[in-house]
Amino acid sequence: MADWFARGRTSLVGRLFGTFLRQSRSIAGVLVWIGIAVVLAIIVMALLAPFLAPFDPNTKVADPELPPGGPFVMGTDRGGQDVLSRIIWGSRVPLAIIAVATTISLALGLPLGLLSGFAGGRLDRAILLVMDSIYAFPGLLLAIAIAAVIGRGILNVSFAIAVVYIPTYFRVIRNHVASVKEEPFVEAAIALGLPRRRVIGRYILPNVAQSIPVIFSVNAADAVLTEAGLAVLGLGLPPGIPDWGFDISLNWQRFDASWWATFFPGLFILILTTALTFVGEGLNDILNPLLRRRETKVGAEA
Amino acid sequence: MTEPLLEVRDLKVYFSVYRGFVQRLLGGGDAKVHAVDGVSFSIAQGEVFGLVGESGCGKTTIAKTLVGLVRASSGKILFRGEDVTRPDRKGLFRVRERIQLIYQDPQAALSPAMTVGEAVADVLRAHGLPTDKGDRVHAESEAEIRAAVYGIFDDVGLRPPAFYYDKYPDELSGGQKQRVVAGRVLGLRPQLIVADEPVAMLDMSVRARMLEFLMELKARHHLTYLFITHDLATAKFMCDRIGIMYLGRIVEVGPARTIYADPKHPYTRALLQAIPIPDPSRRSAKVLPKGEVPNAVWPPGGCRFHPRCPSALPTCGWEGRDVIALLEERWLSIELAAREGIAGPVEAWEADGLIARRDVGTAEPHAVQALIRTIIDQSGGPMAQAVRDIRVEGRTVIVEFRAPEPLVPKEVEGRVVECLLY
Amino acid sequence: MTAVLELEHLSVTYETTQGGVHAVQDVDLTIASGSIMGLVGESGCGKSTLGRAILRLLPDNADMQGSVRFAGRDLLSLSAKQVRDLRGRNLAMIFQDPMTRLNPLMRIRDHFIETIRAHDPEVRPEDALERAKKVLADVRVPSDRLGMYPHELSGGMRQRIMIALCLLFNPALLIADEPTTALDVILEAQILQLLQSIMHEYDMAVLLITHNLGLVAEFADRVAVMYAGRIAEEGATVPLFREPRHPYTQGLLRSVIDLETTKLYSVPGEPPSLLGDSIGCPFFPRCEKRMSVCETVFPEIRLVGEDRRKVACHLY
Repeated sequence: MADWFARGRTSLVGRLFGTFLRQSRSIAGVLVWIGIAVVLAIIVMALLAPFLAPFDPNTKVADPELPPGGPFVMGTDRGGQDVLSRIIWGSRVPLAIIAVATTISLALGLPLGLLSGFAGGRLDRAILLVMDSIYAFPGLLLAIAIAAVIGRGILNVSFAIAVVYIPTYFRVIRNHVASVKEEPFVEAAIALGLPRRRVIGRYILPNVAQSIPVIFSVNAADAVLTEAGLAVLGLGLPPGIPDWGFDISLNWQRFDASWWATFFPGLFILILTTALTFVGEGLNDILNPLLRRRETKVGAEA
Repeated sequence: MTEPLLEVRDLKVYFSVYRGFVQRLLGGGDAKVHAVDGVSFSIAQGEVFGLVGESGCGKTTIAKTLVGLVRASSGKILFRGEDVTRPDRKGLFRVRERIQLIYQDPQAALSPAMTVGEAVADVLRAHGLPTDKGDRVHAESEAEIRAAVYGIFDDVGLRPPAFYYDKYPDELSGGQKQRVVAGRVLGLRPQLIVADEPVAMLDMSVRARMLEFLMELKARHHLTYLFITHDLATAKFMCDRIGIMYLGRIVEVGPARTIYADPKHPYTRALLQAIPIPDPSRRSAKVLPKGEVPNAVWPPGGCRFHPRCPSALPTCGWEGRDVIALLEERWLSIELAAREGIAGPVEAWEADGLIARRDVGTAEPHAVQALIRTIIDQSGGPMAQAVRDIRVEGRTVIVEFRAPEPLVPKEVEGRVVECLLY
Repeated sequence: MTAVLELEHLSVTYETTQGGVHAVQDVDLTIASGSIMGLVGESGCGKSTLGRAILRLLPDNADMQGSVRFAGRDLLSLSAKQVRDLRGRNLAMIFQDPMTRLNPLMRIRDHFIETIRAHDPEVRPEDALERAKKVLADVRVPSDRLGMYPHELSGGMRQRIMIALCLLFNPALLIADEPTTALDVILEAQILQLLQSIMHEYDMAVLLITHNLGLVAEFADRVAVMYAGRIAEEGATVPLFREPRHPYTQGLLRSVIDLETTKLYSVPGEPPSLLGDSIGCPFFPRCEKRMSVCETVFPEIRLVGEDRRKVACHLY
């Protein structure tokens, strides 16, 4: 295993890990590891919620608005529910939203971007027009509009967020495809008579894939914030489901009396978003040299 | 005489230049790049035909047209007598099994995200494996494809093949990459290979090896080459016959030995003379053509080389633009520019086919007329004799040239030249 | 003979994630004023790095040792600001592809004005333009090109403009790094002829870095051959070509394909990796005349023959 890492084996996966480990000597690398660790921790927390949470998040377990202390490590909120338990259980929603929203965005944005970038011409311009129109809307407003129309629920919220992000995936992929398309090796593949499907799938896609993880992590961070925003405005999920954003909307008016009920959910949103951003930044640094050039930066090609 | 493997007749490839909306409104019509403007040649089975010229002459465009990456605007391309000028999808697929392309930059021709083994395997998957009978059959399994790739790698000298299969392009040297590119192309068992500057990007001490490799492949697989290069020295060594291209046309074509021994076209002579010789004891003063290759959107009239040709004749195609070029060059000297100020500035002159004119504004037209006449006469050479008339019409001075003699390719001493000197 | 540039024990090592890459090792070189020194070698030999090292244009991970004496000062010991003052004024450089070396968003005249005022902030734009016109005339570019953008001009014209920008302050040395590699053979000959005539007029020395042996034979007064970051051989052009002494030089000259070539020759093997330390002669694995001492002992430069050729080889 170590030998596999050390030699940075020629397989793609091997090279990925090899670079990964080597990269962590730099500051960017450390941040990536921190980000990954935090995200993993939150995922674990979400999965093990039934075992970790001291109380049932939806039951009133004590007097409302008790400060942190004693059995209630983070105090209780307006409804007398344990904040800590709500934090633990409340991690499920943001993670679910990330999973669904980014999947939808990617599933729609990627193929459209590939198609548009490769086809060029009028088709490209038409799709661009549509995408740019969506893109022109401020994200949150658009999400609000869609959510208001299609109603509440995890899937609906995810969809609303996804729509906002599709143009971003589309844009980045399309531009990247348009430039890779001009590269000589694509032309060579076409000259060799390879079918178009193959050219797009095997020659263009792997060379644009490096931009995807970055958008993904920024998308994920954004999704969390958008969902929280929707929740604060009462457009998120139906009440009763523990959710960080929802908790903020529930408690923020009582901030001076019970700051902890608003503070902790907000803090966790911040932590998750920041961790995702670290992962995104780091992934960019790592994937670029991996998929393209040599790592040895030797100034002039002497 | 046996039928040539490839025959190109009066091939023209024009590209539209994208001009902005407003420009189109004002300028009228689309500008076209005359990349290939009436080229004819043929290649016999088993020979190495060289297409030599500087960048912009159209040789790469011809290469791309032959492989179907670019569509011909007019003319004919015949492969073994079959018309492949504008093939449909299926036809194109088949053309690509017979004519293939080796690139100048092997690094750029390979996808950096794919192992070189996979790059070759892909071709075999798409087209099937070649059989001894000459046709193709689709592989039964991945193992079969891999074995075929190993065979190809062995053939091109990448041994042991299993070692090279999993390598990425950036792990190989320039020469090795070029071999992969060759191997990939050979997977199709083409009959004609177009090699576009195959050694230009390799170091000198490695070039010989690559050229030998190409000749070896040719012998082993009974290939025919169209060898495209700007390096006349390499072309002399490799090619049986060569065609010299300038700005979209072939100016001289024939057996290599004949042309090199006694180049007829002034451009060929200029190219040969310009090559730096690695022997300092033979330094000589070079007579170089003036200026640079003009752009292919508005090529010079008559013989395209006439503005730069050291041996031009009055009938070679002098036109209005040449007057402007003359003035521009003359007035590089600041004192001449000052003294002859009334005829200038250069921007005031307008070229229109065989005519160059300018509205003298407030200057005295006859003075400008006389000055222009003197300037042209002083320039010496054929331009002065090509002038039909320098006259004044109202406030405009007009310089008009005689119509040029039509250019016809002629056979001269064993090769074909397109030049009025003959 | 006055030396305009003296390199002494110059070494450049790049620090990379995989270790140190010794791009240039222990190079001694002297360029006489008003002469052309040709620096030849193949890709990876270090010649481009050397050219950039003189002007301190290398990336941050490059570590330079030794001395670069120019006009009585060691360039390596100067501050960044002092080097900037020298660059473009006393020491200039032109690069390989003129296509990308000019700012596409600036007109030509602005390139000139900016360069002039970078070194002489007091100069008024009108005067700067006059100087530009004079220098453009010397490189045979019509002054109406001043109003144009780089993309409107041809490659040859752009290269001439680059040369003109270098001439503005009458530099003592011009470093030309593969100046004609991207240009066609006729243009190449024209540009080099131009350089030759300018050199006489401006009393300028030229360091011509190229892999093209023909160019060097035609134009250089002295030639230095580089291999694996070191100088393998150096001397006056005519004797060096007539009788190359270092086996690499011999191999290189044999592999050049010119109009007289009847048989192909290539130097066997590949150039060595510059990563990490090496012992012995770097050319050892590929040398046809190698001896056992060559594997373990690095050959110092010795002077050979009546033309006092510098050769780094145990054969002498």
